[in-house]
Amino acid sequence: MEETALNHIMDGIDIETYLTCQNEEEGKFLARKLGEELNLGEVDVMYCEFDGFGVRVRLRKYIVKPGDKYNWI
Amino acid sequence: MQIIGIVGTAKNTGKTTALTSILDSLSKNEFSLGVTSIGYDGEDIDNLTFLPKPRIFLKEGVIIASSSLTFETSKIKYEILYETDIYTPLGKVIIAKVLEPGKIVIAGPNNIKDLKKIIALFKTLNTDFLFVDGAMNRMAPMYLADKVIFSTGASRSTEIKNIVEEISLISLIFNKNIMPQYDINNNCFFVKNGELQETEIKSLLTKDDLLKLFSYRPENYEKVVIKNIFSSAVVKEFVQEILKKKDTYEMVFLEPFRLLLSMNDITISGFRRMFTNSINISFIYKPSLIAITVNSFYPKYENFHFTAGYIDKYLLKKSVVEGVTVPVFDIFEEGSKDLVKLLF
Amino acid sequence: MAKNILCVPLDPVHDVGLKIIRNALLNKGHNVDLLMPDLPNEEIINFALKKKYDYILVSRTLGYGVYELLAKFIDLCDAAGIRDTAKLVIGGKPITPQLAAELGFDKGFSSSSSIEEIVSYIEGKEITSDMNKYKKVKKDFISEHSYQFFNKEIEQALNIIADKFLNWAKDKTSDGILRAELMRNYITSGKKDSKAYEEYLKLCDEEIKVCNTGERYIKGVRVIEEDELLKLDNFLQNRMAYQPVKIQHSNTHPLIFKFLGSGCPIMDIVHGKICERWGVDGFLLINPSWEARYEGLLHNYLTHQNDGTITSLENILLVKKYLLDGTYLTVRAHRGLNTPETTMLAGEAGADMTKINLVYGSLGAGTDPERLGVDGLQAIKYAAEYNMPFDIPGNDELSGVPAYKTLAGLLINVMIGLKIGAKPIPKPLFCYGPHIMINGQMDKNYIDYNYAKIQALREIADLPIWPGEPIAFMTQSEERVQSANATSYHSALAAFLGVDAITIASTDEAYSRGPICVASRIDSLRAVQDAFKFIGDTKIEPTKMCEVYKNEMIENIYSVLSSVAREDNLPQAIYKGILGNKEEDGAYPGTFGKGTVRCK
Repeated sequence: MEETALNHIMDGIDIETYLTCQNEEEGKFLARKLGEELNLGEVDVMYCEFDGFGVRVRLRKYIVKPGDKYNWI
Repeated sequence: MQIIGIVGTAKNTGKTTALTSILDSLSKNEFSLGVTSIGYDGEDIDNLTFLPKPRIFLKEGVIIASSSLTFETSKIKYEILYETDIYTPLGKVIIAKVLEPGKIVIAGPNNIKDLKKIIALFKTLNTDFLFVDGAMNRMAPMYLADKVIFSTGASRSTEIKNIVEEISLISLIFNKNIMPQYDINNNCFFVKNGELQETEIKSLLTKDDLLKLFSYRPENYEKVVIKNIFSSAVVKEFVQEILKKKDTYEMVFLEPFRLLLSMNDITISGFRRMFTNSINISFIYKPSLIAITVNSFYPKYENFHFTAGYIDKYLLKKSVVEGVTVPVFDIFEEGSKDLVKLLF
Repeated sequence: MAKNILCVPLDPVHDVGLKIIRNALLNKGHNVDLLMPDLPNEEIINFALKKKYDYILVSRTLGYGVYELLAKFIDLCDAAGIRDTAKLVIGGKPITPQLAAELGFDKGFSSSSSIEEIVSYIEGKEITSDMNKYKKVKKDFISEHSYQFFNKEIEQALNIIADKFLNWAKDKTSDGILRAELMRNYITSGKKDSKAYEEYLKLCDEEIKVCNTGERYIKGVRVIEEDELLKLDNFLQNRMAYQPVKIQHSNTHPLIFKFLGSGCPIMDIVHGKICERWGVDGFLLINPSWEARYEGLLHNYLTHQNDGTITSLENILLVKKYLLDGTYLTVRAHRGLNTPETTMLAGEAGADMTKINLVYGSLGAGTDPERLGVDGLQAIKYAAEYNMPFDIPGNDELSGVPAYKTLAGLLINVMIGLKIGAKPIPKPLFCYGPHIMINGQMDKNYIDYNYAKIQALREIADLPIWPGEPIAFMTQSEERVQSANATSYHSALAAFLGVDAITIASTDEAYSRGPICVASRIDSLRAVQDAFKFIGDTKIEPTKMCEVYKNEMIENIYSVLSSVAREDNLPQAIYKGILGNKEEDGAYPGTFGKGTVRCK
């Protein structure tokens, strides 16, 4: 197993941040794009609330899911 | 029963490997073996996996004295022989016999009084050898051993010069004579014409103690006997004071480990000066230093990971051999076959 | 006897902790000397030699180079003979028993230790190892309640309902009941009674049969490999909880339960171990929803890539094996066609409790009321036989059933359970359910109505009460802080009410498109710990509406129970919608297993 920090993630990683944008749709688009840019692939948007200036988001990427073979064990 | 102390100058100096290897060699001859430690040595880093290595491997029949919690967290199979009334932060110290080979981290008695009790208990169990695992910064009770082995190496310092400087001084200290005629329970005193000049000083802790001690000093005394602690805070002044005395001079300490306690980076030069030809040092009581083990491995910490670091093992051994007067072993290279012979 | 104690602040500046300890010890009549901070070792030893001290308490925050300093201090004390009489104790933020031992002290106290602990150690009242503090002992919260009914009208109605139900069910059976007995024979024979197992397979649906013979598995299900179990064992052997947390701030605060049911028992166990460290008291093991639809259960060590962990005997035993002895495990059994067998397996595996609700299982979880009536009764009998209390979730409220109907349902289960000799635990919801949203009982605050539910139950009878499931249901969003807050506020209410236990969510519970992450579990445990500390032993004052809601609720419960009592039997009442109807309450009697109940 390659010794990466990602391999130490027990299940999922949440990204919580604020993205400036024009509307919620753009916010969600940027959130998914952020996942790609961070090399996490497709991330789930758990929570996204537009406030006029941008979105408060909680994004999640499952590194392993129950039933997988776990990297960290 | 012989009590063998093993003292590491730092973690990962190969103390556990030496102990495991010695136990292995001895168990072939059906000796009754006991193992305990002064306190608890925490986690070593395994030099193959670089993972914490908190356990020592014990074969069946070995008798151990360790705290109850260390048994709980070990998968070792054992039979309790005796529950002591000694408590450590890891629970009550228990004396138990290993029933099936396994690994355990040992946390034994952590002070002189309690180690004495444990030794007395092992004597009743007809143990041939009791090994006491200790560390450089936890060694006050180690004087209770009959024989000691020091383990040093790259983990202590990656500079061979530093390793040799320290271990050669240790070797020098243990090479001194013993003066068993003095009572170990007295305070510090002077000797002049064979007569004792008593003082009220119990330990040399502060400069005040030093001044008080010298206020009792008779003219032209031959020996000064220092009991209990000779603290690092007084080493420099003490050495300056006694060097004023021109003729040959003799200092008697209780035992070598108490002297080692005050040895540190600052006092090491003072110690060097104490060992000049004009001063004789001796001890009232002294375990014998029988061997030194060296280890060229050290855990190298880089980017939050341990990797294996090594210094030149041949140069290390050669340099230590030149600096000391006792046999030197690299257990990883040569095993403990020859070292074991020195136990008898 | 008064002890002589020397307090040594080795920290450069900080000696507040030791001053607090000194005051506590002085109040107890001990002699305490406090040194000034940051003296050199030699001067401390010098001072310590002047008097015969029983204890030397050293405080020090650990940092670079401090280990050597402390070890040297210990060695000097030993060499100076101080340790012949004095015990050396260290206190500081990161001190663990291991660290105290490594440094050579006789005892260590961390920042989570209480002053009382330190004082009782000094006074020699506590001589056992530190780990005992963290060793949880399950408390028998059920026997603290008498099950005595105070509302005699309600008691009478419940008696009629339960007696009619037992009479109705007495000559009925189902494949679910037969399978449970066959499986029990097979297990207790040490899996040697192959005839029982063959009979068992005959009574299973085809999908289950082929799984159990290893031919083909249900999608997402696979057998856990031996290597995975070994790795799990190795993973846990090399780790242990570091400075375990106790959530309850006082002993009247409720026990904390969480769900486990990721699909994979290995993931559940590792999550469980981490939650134990953060103070959880117990878990509810939740099975996959599809288990409810099939006749027959899967056996073996199995993992499943969707919600719900397969509650096979092997899986329950595995979870049980790794959880601490002091951690409760309850296994959900109350829905579907395998209710008796699941309860029996929980009992055989040594689970502490099981989760059964005849009414909700029929109304909110899809099982035919007659079938669940017959099967559920057998499950309660198993619960009684294995001495497992059974908890009764009131989650039908979430589909829109008004609280009084849900509470009436809980009480029916309680009475049936009591008649069988079981120990029922009703679990009213702390939630913002649809019926409440429509009728506005929570428009002003979230306290009055939840409070009223508990008070109503307490006026009716003295029962153990365990709000669930999880508390704060439907008040939580997918946003982390909001979710943690909602859990913590509701837990504070539960703490004030002095209920026996609560089930709490994780901060990703409202997010339904993926499994629960352990970080989110920790979030909510942390939140509850703070809530309990915050509320302590103070009171929450509801508005006068609370009383109004409570009285309404008791009246309505009685009226519902009277209607049920007039019916021939409980399933009939459920079909008729008395405990929740399709039109207004969104409650549909289930259809799994319809027409499968037969006479013995």
